[in-house]
Amino acid sequence: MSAKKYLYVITKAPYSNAAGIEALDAILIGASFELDVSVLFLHNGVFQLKDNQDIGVKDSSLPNVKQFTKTYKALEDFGVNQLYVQDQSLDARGLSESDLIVPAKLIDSQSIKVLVSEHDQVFTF
Amino acid sequence: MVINRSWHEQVALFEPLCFAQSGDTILLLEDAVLAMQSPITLASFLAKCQANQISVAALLDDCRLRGIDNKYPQIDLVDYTGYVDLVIAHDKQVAW
Amino acid sequence: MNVNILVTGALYSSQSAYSALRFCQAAVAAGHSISQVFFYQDGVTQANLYSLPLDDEFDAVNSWVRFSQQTSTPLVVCVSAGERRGLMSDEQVLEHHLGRNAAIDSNGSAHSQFSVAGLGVLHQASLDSERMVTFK
Repeated sequence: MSAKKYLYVITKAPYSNAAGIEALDAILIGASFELDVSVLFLHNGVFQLKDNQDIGVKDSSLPNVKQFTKTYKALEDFGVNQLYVQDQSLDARGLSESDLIVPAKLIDSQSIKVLVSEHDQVFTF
Repeated sequence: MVINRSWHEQVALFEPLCFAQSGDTILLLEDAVLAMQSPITLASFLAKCQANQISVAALLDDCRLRGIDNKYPQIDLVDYTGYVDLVIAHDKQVAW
Repeated sequence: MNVNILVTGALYSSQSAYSALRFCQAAVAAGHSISQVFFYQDGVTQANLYSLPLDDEFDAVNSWVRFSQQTSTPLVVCVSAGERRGLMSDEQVLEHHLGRNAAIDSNGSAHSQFSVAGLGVLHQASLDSERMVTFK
């Protein structure tokens, strides 16, 4: 029997909430189950992959955030098959493929419908 | 597939449409039912759904809680038992 | 059918506890079974033992507890999401030395009807169930 296909959809921007961190936790567990895992970045979720994120100099007197988005670059090593980014979401936010920290497949709305129908399970964050 | 979405702003109502395709049902749940008070937005939403053979339902209990009447024959009102039936009838659900 | 429930909405700043409970009750009444209810992201707050709404308000935490006891449905809080938000079992409070007087007073903030487990439990349940429904 072939592996079940799980799609994790991230729709929120990083740092204002823990959605990205907690989506990554779930994605890594999905990959550890040897599921066929894909990730789709939609709407403000595309900002998760934006380059030039700068958390500033570590200063113990200031509250520090973790630059968790680096983990997206390592997903391939954990067996995550494919990252998808909706082209419209990038366009609407003045972004292009070259602004992303990791190679992702650009996908249009029609292909997203196919993507969703091909997956056994969809988690939205 | 059932998509439920708390409706906070006009654009949010249209976002799930990028997931839904022919044969799917979009269920308006919680604050999503408030869209039924916005005739222009809703008419355009219903037209898009109809063009793509997507059914639209709304949760009766959430409508009643908020004093919302269904004036739209295209929207099927369902109670929680109907919600369960929708989940059983579709192989997966996408929460929005 | 077996339905796996994922709850991610916060206690009282979302309707997810009420919606999920009503759904679960309707599903059981229709002859289906809820394989488990997994609380993730802000949903972990729905396990808060110290939630005390007014008498005439919806009591989400105790409604979950009653549903779980009546139907033998497991309630599971995600360990990492819970620890981020201070939702922990007695054992976790002891383990992390968070108790005011840990030697005699284990004061976990998660109701004991909720077990605490990792995201693997969510994924296993999703594989073992015929349907999964998420309440945000």
